[in-house]
Amino acid sequence: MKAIIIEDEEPARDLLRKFIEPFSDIEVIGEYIDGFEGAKAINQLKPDIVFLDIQLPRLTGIEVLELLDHTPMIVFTTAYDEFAIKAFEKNAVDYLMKPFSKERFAQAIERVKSRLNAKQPQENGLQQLTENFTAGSHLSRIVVRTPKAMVVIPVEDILYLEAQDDYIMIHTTESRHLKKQTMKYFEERLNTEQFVRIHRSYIVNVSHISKLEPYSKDAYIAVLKNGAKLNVSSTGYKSLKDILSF
Amino acid sequence: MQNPILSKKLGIVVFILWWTIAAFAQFSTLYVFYDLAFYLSAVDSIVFNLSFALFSIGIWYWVRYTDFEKQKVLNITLNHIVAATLCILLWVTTSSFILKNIFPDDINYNDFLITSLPWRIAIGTFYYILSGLIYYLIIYVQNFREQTMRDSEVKTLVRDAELNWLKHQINPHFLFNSLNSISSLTMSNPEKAQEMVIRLSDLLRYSLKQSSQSLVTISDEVSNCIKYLDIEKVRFGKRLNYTISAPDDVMSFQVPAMILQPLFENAIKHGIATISEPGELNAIFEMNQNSLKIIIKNTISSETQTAKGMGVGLVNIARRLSLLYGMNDLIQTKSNENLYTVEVTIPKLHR
Repeated sequence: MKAIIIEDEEPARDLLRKFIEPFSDIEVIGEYIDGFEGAKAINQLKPDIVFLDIQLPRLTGIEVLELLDHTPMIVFTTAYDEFAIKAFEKNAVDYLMKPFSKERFAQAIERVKSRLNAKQPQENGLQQLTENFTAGSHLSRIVVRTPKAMVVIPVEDILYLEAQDDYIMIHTTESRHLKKQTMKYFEERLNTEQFVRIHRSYIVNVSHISKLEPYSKDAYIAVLKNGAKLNVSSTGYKSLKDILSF
Repeated sequence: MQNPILSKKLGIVVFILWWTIAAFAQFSTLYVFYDLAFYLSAVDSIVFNLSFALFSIGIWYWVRYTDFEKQKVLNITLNHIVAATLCILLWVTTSSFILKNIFPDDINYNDFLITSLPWRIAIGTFYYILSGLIYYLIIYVQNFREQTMRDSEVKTLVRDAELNWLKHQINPHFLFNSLNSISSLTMSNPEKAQEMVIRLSDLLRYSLKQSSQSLVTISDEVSNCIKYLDIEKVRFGKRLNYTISAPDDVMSFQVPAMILQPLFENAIKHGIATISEPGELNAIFEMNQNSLKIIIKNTISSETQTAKGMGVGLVNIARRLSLLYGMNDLIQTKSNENLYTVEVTIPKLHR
């Protein structure tokens, strides 16, 4: 089995390597100290098992999950994170609380092995994990995987989100990116003082609206600073009115 | 500040009622004991009392700006004697003038106006003193109420601070990660593990020893922070490079205990820990005339920099400082491309 360690603290990496050593069937093929490099490595090297820290430079362990096109077995390691632990427990994902014992580590490995043998992919569990982990907090950035690269979009740079079937087109000041997600997901996780659902298909960043033009009896058009024009439904108009208080 | 009597409905009612009673008493006296005609007694008492009622509204402003806490009693007394003399003279002359013009042909009444001057002045003095006393009483009650409210607010804040104190002392994320490092070092480098255990113990002992009210020297705080940073150095290795520049003259400066470590924790959490390359953390202490300036600069990530202003950690320190010093602008932050700067000003304590 090929394994990757994504952990930003050297002593913690040393420890994992030492604990893995006795398992002759596990080979560590890479160690990474930030989430970005880690995610790239997972997609390229396609390991069977990943030891993933939550608090990492550049991207959190949870954001790493969103960027994967290959889903290995993931064992999370974390020191203390109430959110993460709640999310782990809900989704029966295996996690190690630092500091952990050799025995506890071995147990986690056994569990991974039996899942691999039973061909029980973690995928659904992980998607669920992301949703639970981010619920109730405001996103400060969105990560997107493109065929060429991985992109981190600070929410301030977002002009608007547009629903396109099972995907969301994220329009930013510089470009646009497609992400597989639902409108509801973003509606619940973006700061409602900045982002407003103005239409079935649009969530707009209010700080980028330049004006509202009447369109028909109940509908309006929001004109953004870059010139983009978005339909505003009557409920969307009401929400805008509440936020911008005009 | 508005007249407190006229700013409340009840005040206005009492005010009108009082002057009506005063006018009625004067009317009865004039009508019964001085045998003045009914209409003369009535107009006389209405003019005199109505005019004083108006004057008494003005007395408030005089009372308001002669504050017992700020001025000497002698000054205030002199002020009031001058004000009372002016007020009463003005009151008697204007009232008499008005009445003279209402009844220009009644010689008896005009005589009465002159002979009654002494007791009118006596009544005026009494009214002036009464109004003044009532106003001082109102101010006293208002101040008392404000003070009690402020006291209870401070008490609640202090209690909250105490409750949060222990919780904030030990950052669990730091503690468990350090323990994990120790766990790792026990196998690879037992001696270093031992060193780290001792440092961690010192750190915990230091924070347990202090309460949120205790004062320590910068020297104590700095040596505690060096222990903290050395532990973090084991965790972060080359990624953490710190310098502390504290001249000798700041070392004995008194500061609230545990004010420094959270600043470093903040710099690590939002700076060093978010970048994978080596980062800098520099602390500079400067002694000014009446305060100590602490400047903490740390590298931040330029690509994932999304946090603006102060995080929870800094807000907590700012709250604690404003509680202790009664000033709200003791923490300033600024950030550019990849450097975050926190400036803390700690005033000298006069105890």
